[in-house]
Amino acid sequence: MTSASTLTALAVPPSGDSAQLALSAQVERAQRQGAWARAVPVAGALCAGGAVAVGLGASWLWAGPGLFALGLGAWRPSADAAAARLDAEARLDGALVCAWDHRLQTAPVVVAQRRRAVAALAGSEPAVRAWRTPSPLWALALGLWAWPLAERSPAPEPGDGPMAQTEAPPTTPGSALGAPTAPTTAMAPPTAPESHAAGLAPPAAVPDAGPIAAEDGGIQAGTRTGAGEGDGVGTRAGDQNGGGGAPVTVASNAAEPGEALPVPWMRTAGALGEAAGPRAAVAVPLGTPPDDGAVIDPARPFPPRYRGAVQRWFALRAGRTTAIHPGTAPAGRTEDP
Amino acid sequence: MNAPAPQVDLSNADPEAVAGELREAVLALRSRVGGLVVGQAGVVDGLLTGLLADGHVLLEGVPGLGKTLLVKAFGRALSLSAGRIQFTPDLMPADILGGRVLQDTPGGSQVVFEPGPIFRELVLADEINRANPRTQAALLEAMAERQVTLAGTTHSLGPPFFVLATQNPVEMEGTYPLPEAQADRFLMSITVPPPDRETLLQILDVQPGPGLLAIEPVLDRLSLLRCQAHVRGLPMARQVRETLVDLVVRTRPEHAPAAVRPYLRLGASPRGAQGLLAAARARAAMAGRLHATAEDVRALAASILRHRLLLSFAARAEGVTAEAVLDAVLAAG
Repeated sequence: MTSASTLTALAVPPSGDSAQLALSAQVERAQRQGAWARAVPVAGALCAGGAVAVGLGASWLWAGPGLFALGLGAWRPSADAAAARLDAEARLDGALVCAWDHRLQTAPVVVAQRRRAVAALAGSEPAVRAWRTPSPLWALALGLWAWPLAERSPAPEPGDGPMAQTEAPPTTPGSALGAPTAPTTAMAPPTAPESHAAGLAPPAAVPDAGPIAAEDGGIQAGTRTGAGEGDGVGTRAGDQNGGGGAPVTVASNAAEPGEALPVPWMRTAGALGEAAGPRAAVAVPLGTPPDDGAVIDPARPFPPRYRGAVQRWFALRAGRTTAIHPGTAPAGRTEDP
Repeated sequence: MNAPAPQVDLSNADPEAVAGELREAVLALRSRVGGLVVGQAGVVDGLLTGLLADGHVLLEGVPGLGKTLLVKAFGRALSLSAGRIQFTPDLMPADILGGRVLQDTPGGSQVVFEPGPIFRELVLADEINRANPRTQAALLEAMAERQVTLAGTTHSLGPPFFVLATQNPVEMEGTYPLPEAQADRFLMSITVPPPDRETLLQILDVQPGPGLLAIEPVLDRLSLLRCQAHVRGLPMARQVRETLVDLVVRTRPEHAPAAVRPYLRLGASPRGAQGLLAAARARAAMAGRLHATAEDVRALAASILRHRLLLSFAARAEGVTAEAVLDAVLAAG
C-alpha cells in the first residue's frame, strides 16, 4: 500500500540535509499513524458486527466483504495529506506543507525554511502522534448497541425461519393479523418447537417445508398434519413433544418467494440448512401471555469453553422472564448438547 | 545616472541572518517614518511591501493626507538617490527621461545624454494623473523593463528602481486617468485613508521639529538588494499558489461569482498574479517568516488587484467599486 508520493518522499537526495531526513521520517510516521487510525475502527466495527452476525446465526460470508473493508480502511493517507495533517495539528501555518512541497530543493532559504518547520514541529505534540489511533475498546461500544438488535431479531431455528407466537390467530383466511381468538403457538420445527419468541409484530413464521398455501401472500394457516395447501386455518392436535395438550390454532405468515426476512441482510442457520442438534420442547399452555423477553437458544452451538458463561447468561435471562411472567417458567428448557 | 548594479549573491549567505536584517530594517522604517507621518501605519507597511517585492506603488488619496510627505520620508529613510517629478499637463517626456544636449567640453562641443529625473533609485511621481497620456506613456518602458531607450540607445535603470506615484481620485478636472497598461505597471495601489478623530488629534499634537531632516537612513542600497533577493527566494507551497491563481482567475468576468459578474469587464492580468506572488512573499518576510501563506495572499489581494480590474458601465452606474467586487471574489473563495 505504498503510494507514489510515499516513494517520492523516501527518495531523499544525497544532500545530507538532516532536516530533509527528519521531515521525510516524520511524514512517513504520520502516514503509518493515519493508516492505523483508519484500520482500527474498521477492524473494531468488523469484529463487533461479525460477533453479532455470528450470534444471530449468520453465515461467515460476511467475512469476505469485511476483510475487503478492512483493507480499504487500512489504506494509508498520502504523504501530502500526512504533511497537511501534521501542519494543521501543530498549527504551523503552512510551514510544514511548504517545506514538504519544496523538500527536494536545496536553495539556502528553502533549506532554512525546512529547518524552521521541522524544528517547530519537533516541539509539538503532533510530532509524536498526528492521528490519534482509537482504542480497540471502541469496538465494544458498537457491540453494545448492536446487542439489542440481536435480541430483537427473530430466533434462528434449525431448518426453520423466524417464528413467532401470537395470542390470536386469524379466524378466517386472510383476516387481519392479530385478531384475537385464541392463543397461538408458532409452528415449531419437528425437533425443537420450544421457541416462544414473541413481541415482534406482525408475527412472521416461515414454514420449514415450503410455503403453506401462500400463493397470495396473505395470512395463511394450515393444519400441521395436513397438506401444503390448506385452507388457511387449521388446528394442530396436541404438541408432539408432550406440551400443552389442548389443540392450538396455528397461524403462519407465509413468506412469498423472495420476500425479505426481518433481518434481510442475514441468512439464518435454518436457511443455511445447518443442524443445531436436538432440543427439548417447551410446553406453552394456552392462555400464556406473550413473553416479550423470551430467551432463544442460539441456533449455533457455542464452543464448549463458552458454555458455562452462556448457561449463566441464559439462567439470568430465565430468571428475569420468570419474574415478569411467573406462568412461563422455563422449566422445560434443557441445554444444548 | 545610477551606479552600476552590484551583484547580490545569496548562495553563501545565511538566510536566517538576512531575514533578521530585513526584520530589523522593517521595524526601524516603521518607527521612523511612522513617527513623522501619524496614523498611516498601513500605508507604510504597503510601501515596504512594494519596496521588498521590487514593485512600484501608486498612492491614492485626497489632498492633504500627507502622501508626499510620506513618500519623501520613505525615500530619506532608505538612503537611496531620490528624484521628484511634479506631473503637470504640460510636462513632456523629455522632462522625465532626459535628452541629448549640446555640451561644451574641453575637446569641443558634443552632444551628450543628459539623464532626466527618472534616473534615480527612488522616483516620486507626484500627481501622476495630471500629466498627459504621452508623458505617462514615457513611464511604461521605464517601469516595466527598467530601462529607457532614447535615440536608439538603451539606458538601464537601477537596481533598485522604485517609483512611488500619487494621484488624487476626486479632483478629476484637467487630469488624465491612467490607462490600463500604465496602471498595470504598478504593483500595488494603496488608498490613503483620511485620519479618524483620534489620529487627527495626534497629528495636531505633533510638535514642529526638524521633520524630514531628523530621519536617518535605515537601509542602504546593498542591504535593500540583499533583502529583495531574499524575498524573491522565499518558497510558497503549491496549495497557496493555487489559492492565488484561483483568486486571480475569479476576477475574470467568465469565472467571477454571479453576483459581481455583470460589473466586471476585464480581470486581473498574469502580471497581477506575479505581483501578488511577490507581494505575498514580501509580507511573509516582513512578518519574519520564511514561507508565504494563503493569508498573505488574501491580505494583499485588494491592493494588488484593485487597479487592475476594469469595471463595466453597470458597475459605474450603480456605484460599485473595485473593492466591493474584490470582496465578493474573496468571499467566494
